[in-house]
Amino acid sequence: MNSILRYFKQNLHVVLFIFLEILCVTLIVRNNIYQSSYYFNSSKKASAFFLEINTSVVEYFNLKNKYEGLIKENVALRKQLKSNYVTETKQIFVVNDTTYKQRYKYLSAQIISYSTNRADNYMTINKGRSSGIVKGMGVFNSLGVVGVVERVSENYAILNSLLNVSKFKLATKIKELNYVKGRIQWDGKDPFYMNLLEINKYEPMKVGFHLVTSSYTKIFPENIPIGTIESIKKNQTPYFEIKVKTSANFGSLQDVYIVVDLFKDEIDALEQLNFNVK
Amino acid sequence: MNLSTLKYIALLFVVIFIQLFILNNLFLGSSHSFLFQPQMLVFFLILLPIDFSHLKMLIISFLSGLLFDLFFNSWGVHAAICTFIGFYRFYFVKDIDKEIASRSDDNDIWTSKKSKAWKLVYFSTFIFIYHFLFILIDSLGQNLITYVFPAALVSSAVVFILSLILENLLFKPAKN
Repeated sequence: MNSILRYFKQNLHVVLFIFLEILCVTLIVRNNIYQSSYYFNSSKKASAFFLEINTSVVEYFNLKNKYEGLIKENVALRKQLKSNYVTETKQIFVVNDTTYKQRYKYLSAQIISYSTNRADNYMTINKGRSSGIVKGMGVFNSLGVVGVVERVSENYAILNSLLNVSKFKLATKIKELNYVKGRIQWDGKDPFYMNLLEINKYEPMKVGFHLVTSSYTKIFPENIPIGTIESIKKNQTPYFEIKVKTSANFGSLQDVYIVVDLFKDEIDALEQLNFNVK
Repeated sequence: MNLSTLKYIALLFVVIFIQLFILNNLFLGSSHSFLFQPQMLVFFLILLPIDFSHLKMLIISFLSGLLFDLFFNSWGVHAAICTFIGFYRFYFVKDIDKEIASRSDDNDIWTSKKSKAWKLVYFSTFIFIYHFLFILIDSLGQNLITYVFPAALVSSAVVFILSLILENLLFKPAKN
């Protein structure tokens, strides 16, 4: 401290000179219009320049925070990508029945193997007991009915395909006539065509009528497409010989939905009770 | 307050008088008036005694400049230049034998004891610096080559000639 004071004492003339010059410059800037305007314009430019530098420096040191923020945002956006979602989600969508109580839930699954060249064809899906699949659940895809769950392991399930001569029969509703009539069954020949049975010759059947699932079945919800009437023939029997083109394309199956009937247990128990009483 | 001090105060007012009534009116309205901006205050500064301390020199320079500013409404311009001249003149004259220089008769001035060549350099240097700085501040550094230098040179020449005349008129040359 003493040395600093001594230095100032020795160089007092320099300090005084600087002080007086600053005083003079202040006087010039404050009292001379031309000089003051020049000074203030220049000082604004200078301050803008230094402010810009300051902003750049501050921004540079904030880059890390900005970078981290962007990474977080990127991660959040990546999480929303569809490709991140494997088909683990059990509940895809829900359907309310007419009483506005949820009756059906749907699980998604993928078919990992299937056949169409046998009399009794089966399919294997990648969901099993662990996903809540049990025997007897209906399976359909975006086009129409595919099959019914037959056996279930922990992580896989085997379906009775629609193309199963001995084990698959399904009551149908004719959409255009809006009543339940007949049942559908494969004859074991062409995997794209099935037979609609038990339609007597007095029914006003026409080619092009659509067959959908009926409300009488506990396996499927109502109005899921099964097929379209392709041809109608009369023979010696009292029934039409009706050929139906399947809605589901059995040449290419991949994603399917499994129907979970939430009232099935209740209905089964009631029916069992009624059966026992009889 | 001794006689010498009174002599310098009188010199200051003579300078102000010359500036106010002669120089400021001489070139006014002329088409070359921008070239002729002679400032006589520098004459007062360079004739100040050399035995002044640095601090005293600075303060007297500053105050005389401020007085000039008050007269000519140029707030701070002359004060700044005078302080600058006062500061650096000290280094220019500090090697001069102060005892001889200060030993003067009533009407003598220390510059009269120096050679003509030295006096020429001394006068012309500070007169040019003064005018250069004055015109530089006045024009804010614009047109340095086409305006500041020519005007500083012309004005310096005028003041230089006037200074030599005044020095001989006001102060008698040393007899020894």
